[in-house]
Amino acid sequence: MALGQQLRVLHALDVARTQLYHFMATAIAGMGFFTDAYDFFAISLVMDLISYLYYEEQIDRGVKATINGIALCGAVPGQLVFGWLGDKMGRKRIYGVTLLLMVVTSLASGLYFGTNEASNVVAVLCFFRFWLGFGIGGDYPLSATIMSEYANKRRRGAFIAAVFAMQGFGNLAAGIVAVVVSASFLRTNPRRNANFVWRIVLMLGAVPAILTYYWRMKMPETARYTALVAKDARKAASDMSSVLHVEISPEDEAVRQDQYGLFSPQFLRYHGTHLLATSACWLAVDITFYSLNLYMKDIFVDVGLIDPPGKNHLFMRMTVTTLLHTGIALCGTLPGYFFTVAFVDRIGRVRIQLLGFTMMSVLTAILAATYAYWKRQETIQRKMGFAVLYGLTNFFANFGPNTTTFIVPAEIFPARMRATCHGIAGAFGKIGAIIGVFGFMSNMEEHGVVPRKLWALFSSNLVGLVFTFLLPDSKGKSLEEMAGETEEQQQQQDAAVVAAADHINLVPI
Amino acid sequence: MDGGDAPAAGGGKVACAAWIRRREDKSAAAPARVFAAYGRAGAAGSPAALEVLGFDAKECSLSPSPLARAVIGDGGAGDAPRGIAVHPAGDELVCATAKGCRLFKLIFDEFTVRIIPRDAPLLESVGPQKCLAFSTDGAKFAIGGEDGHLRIFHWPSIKVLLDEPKAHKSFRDMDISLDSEFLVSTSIDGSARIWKIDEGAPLVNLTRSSDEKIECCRFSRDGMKPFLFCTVAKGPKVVTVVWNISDWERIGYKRLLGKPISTLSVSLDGKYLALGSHDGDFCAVDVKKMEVSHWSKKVHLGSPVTSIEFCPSERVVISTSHQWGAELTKLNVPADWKEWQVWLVLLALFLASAVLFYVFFERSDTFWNFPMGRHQPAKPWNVLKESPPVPEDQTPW
Repeated sequence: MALGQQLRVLHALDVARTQLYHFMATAIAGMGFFTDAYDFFAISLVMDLISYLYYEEQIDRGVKATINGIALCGAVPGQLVFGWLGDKMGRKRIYGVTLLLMVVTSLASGLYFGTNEASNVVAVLCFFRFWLGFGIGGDYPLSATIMSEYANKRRRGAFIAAVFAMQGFGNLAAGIVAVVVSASFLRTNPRRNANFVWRIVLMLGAVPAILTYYWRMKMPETARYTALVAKDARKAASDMSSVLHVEISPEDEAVRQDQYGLFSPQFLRYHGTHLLATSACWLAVDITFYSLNLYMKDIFVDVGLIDPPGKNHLFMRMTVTTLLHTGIALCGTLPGYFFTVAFVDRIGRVRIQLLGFTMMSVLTAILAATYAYWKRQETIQRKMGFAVLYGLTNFFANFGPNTTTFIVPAEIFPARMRATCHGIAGAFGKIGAIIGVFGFMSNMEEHGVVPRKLWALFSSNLVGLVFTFLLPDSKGKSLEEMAGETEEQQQQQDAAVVAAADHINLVPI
Repeated sequence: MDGGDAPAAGGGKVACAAWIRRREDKSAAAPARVFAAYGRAGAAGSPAALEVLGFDAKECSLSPSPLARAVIGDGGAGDAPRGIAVHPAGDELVCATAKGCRLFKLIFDEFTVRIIPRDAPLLESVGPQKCLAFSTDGAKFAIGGEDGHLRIFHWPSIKVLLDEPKAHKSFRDMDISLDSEFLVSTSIDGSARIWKIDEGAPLVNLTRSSDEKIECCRFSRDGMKPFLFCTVAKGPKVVTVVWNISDWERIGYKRLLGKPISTLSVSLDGKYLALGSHDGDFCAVDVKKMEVSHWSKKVHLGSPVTSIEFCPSERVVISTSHQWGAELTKLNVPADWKEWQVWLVLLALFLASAVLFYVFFERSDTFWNFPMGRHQPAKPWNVLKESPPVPEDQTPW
């Protein structure tokens, strides 16, 4: 009878008001994103310990950038390989594989105790971090599919908002775990215990992955037309019509003229600027977003918010670092998601992106221009203004391009090419993340380095701002007309099944 | 082709068949056990009966003798089975007879199976039924009668959700959509209608020209393909037409079997369709390409195929006809990827990247070791010299 009960759970998901089912479904659907965010960002919080243990606090900038960014390098091939395997044997079964891979590599990255030579430990760590990123690259699109399948038809918008926030919570959890683990070792032998702290923080990334796997296996197989929920019905119909004989009617003959491929002059003419704009914007925002998040600690050390290495007790320093990280995630990054969910259909996607890039440009310019001033302040309290501006930059990244660069490519390209174009833009986003990580690969302590980096981010945001103007406005239509046409078209297409659906998509890592 | 109508079991020909998938309660991750259910017509000296047979996945065969057997009704001629529908949970099944529908409880132990008749007065009085269907979530059960009477019940309470005495002249085929939103039904006069199940009302009639007859119908079971497949006869030609269920417009059509079609079915994962013909052939169609990938000729020589049922776990089907009973056929289609093959691919990639990491490690001894100095000046050529490892399989789209 267990399977029957599980099957009936699915029915209740649609019909019942919000109940325990839906909170469980939210946790299960969002746990994938939670795990991804935790795993990606926890490494920067334990970088100090690795530097202390194996490099006497003088870690080479190349090594630091590699440790920080190797998981991102793994995510790109992971997405490709698991996408291909998912087509072969079904996405549900691949989901279990990606989660198990994430569990194993999270644990493995902390379990090398062979020797204490820096080169051996760090090389093995980088190897397993690469494969963790590989698993995350595969997990991310599958988590999106799982999300769309469990959404209650009546409250899908709120459900998606909650899933949205799981990435912010994952970032937050990384901070909390690092604070708790480092604080619990605060009063004992720092040298010996540091070896355990960084391993524990990284290996705890396996816990949400295991929970996701366990809960996922307990939930019933979903019975949904995910193409309808994910608004892919037109692409599915287009794929099907390509293998069938299509009855030509005078109306269809006009439509058939639009049957151009991705590598064709027609696509270049109609959508070339759109693809260029979406890719460039995604690249620009990820350069800023990832560099600000992964190098937050180093910038704060230079400005004086955090004591430099060696000056103070190691774990006290790590505690302060993670508290600042957590505070910025809690007050800046997380609210940005919720603001976008609340306003994305009211203000419009392109306007939010314009607002976000504008504010990010202004804030990074202010940070860069006033950097010397903050550095000169005598007390931590006075330097907090820098942290506030830093948090605001993260806020407008999420109430801005970090969210909309995911939404817009899903809406402006023809259904037939949407997945490919979205994938291309997303790949540029990952490249931007890698640029953000390795581009900051310089000695922060040198005079004038950080302001120059901030000016570089300002330039990157300006590039994003400029390319945002190439989005739907390029044809002279007003945003309202563009949004209205898109929504009308979508609703006409999906009216029979998901008339109440919201036009909100997911934010990638 | 093996299994099928073994005389040793006694009784009449197999009139209808279905697969049963059982998942053990203990652990959800355990693989499901698969059985087959046969409905046998009565014969001299033996009443009409329901049987459950074991399925050997390795041999792709059914057990020669039934694991359990139950007499249908009181053994009269009116109790001949016409169709079987198994609840998705695998613990109940409904068998249609000329008098009405019989409900049976299935109990599976470690080594034994029991079939226990259950009283369901509402079902037993419905008269002869042409179509039976459970919804995928197991919460709905629909029956279409010879008299054109459509009933949809909530399950397991067997409360009536829809009761339409004049849905059709007489039912030809029926199916419930993957998400349990819609029911499609076709009539012997060639019309087809979509019903909204929760509202208990018709939604649309599928458009057709006057010389077209919509015959068999099945919803897609692939979540990424929200389609309805129907066989449409236009004079002597029969084509398979695909409808988009978001707007109920035709997407296209294809001629697959090239013969008059008697039955249509879809695999549980939605990857294959099966078409049975009036002269005893059947074929399996790859839904992604809409091409025939398996064709069995003369499985039911000279007799229309009345049903084709896909096995839940293997590429095996049971087809039935009135004259020849049941035939088990292993489909000659490409094997599905197994879990171990995925892990093998990942292991190969893992080892390849390990080799690449090791080569990089050996060639860059100084990269990982102590820094050159605290005040090392930052120069562009230093950045290039100390570039991070980039595995070969890192290729953006």
